[in-house]
Amino acid sequence: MKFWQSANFWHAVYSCVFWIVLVTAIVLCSSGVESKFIYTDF
Amino acid sequence: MIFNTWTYGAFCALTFLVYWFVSPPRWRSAVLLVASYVFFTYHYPWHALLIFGMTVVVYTLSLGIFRYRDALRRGDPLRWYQHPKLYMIAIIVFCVGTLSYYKYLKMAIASLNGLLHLADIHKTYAIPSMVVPLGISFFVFEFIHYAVDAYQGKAQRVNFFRFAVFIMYFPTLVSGPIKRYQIFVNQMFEMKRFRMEYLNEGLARILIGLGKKVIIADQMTPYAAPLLNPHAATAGQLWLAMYAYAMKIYFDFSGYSDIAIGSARLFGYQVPENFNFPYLQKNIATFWNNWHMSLSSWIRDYIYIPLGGNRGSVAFAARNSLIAMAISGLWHGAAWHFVLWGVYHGLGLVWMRYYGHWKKSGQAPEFLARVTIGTAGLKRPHIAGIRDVLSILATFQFVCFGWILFYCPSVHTAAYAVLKMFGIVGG
Repeated sequence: MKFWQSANFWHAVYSCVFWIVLVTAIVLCSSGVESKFIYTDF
Repeated sequence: MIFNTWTYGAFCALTFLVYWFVSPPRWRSAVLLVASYVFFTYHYPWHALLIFGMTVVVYTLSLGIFRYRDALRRGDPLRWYQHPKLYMIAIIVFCVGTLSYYKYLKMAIASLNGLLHLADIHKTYAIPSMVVPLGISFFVFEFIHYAVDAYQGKAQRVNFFRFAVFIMYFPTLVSGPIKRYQIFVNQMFEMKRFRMEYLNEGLARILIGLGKKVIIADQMTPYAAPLLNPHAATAGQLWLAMYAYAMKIYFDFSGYSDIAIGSARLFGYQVPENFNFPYLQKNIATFWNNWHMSLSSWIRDYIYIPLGGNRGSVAFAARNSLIAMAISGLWHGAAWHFVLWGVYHGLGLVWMRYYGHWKKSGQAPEFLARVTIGTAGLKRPHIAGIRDVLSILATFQFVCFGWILFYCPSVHTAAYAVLKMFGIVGG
C-alpha cells in the first residue's frame, strides 16, 4: 500500500484542512470586532 | 486582559516560552505567579492589591484550621478561640463579606430605595459607584472551598507561595473553571518536563474555544438583541432572540472555558471541565450536571449538601434545591432577575423531585410519564427513541425560557417579553 493510501495520511490531510478552515473562519469573523465574554462580567 | 485579544495571545506565548525554556524547573511556579499578577494588573492594578490582601488573610486564618484541626483529632483540650471551625467560619464571613461589599451593596441599596419609595417614605440613599474586581465571584468560591476542605481534612497545608499560585493561576482567574485545591496542588508538586502534547492539546483547545466564541457566539449577538428591548420587537423576533441567546451563551462560555482549559494545558496543568453537551440532556437535573459543571459541583458540595441535601423528606430536599439555585442565581449577577432565574431552575428541580416521589408511589398520571421536564432521568437510561428526543427538546425549551429571565435587563422586561411572545400583550 502506498503512503497516500494509508489512514494516517488521510487523517493528516483532514486535520490540516480542519485547522486551516477553522483559523481562516476565526480571522474572517473577528475582523475589527472586540467582544467581551459574557461570564467575565460576573 | 481578555482571552480573545492579540495582547493575551502575545502574553500567553511569552509566558509559555519563559516557563518551559528559560526558567529552571524549580522557578516555574514563580513564573506563573508573576505572570498571573501581570495578567490581573493589566486592567485594574488596585484590585491586584485586594486579591493579594485576601490571599494573605485567608492563608493566615487557614493556618489556625490546620494547627487546631490536628489537636482536636488528638483530643487535646482547646480554648474557644482554638476551635478550627471558628477559623473556617471567619474565612467564609470574610470572603462573603468582601464579595457582598463589591458586588451586592449596590443592589441592596437600590432595593432599599425601592422599598422606601413603595412605602411612600421620601428618603433615598446614595448608591456607591465602585468597580467590581475582576473574577471576584470565582476566586471567592475557591477561597471558601479551600477553607471548608481544610476543616474537613481534605486539603493539605502548603506554603503561602503555592497557595497564591492556586488562587492567582491566570488561565482560570477571571471566569473559572472553579478549581479544586488538592487536585491543583498535587499537579504543582509533579515537576514536569515539557512535552509536545501540552502544546498540541493546549493550542487545539484554545483554537476551538476561539472558534466557538468568534464564529458562533458573536454572530448571535444581533439576533439576541430584541430581548433587551422587547417593546420594539415582534413576537417572532423575540422567539428567535430566545434561541439565539441560548446558542450565544453556550458557545460564549463554553468557548471561554475551552480557552482557559487550553491555556492551563500549555503549562502542563489539567483544570476541571465545564460543559458536557448540556443542551442534549433529558431532564433539568442532568442539564445542571452538565452545564457549568465546576460551579454546579461547587453549589452541590458547599451549599446544597451542607443545607441537608436530599436527606430527610421530599419537601426538605426540595427546599434545599430551591435555596441552592436561588443563591446560584444571585451569584450570576446582582439583580433580582438573576435570583428569579435561579428560583425558576430550582422549581424545575423541585418539580422533578416531587414527580419522582409521586411516580414511585404509583399515583402519577400516565400523561406526565410521556414528555415532561424532569421525567427522563427516572426512566431506564438506555431506552432511546422518540420519548427521549421529546424529553431533550422539552428540557431545552425549559432552559430557553429561563434565558429570557437571565438576559432581559429586569423582571418587568422579561415578563413583558414572555407575554408578547405568546401574543398576550403588544399585538
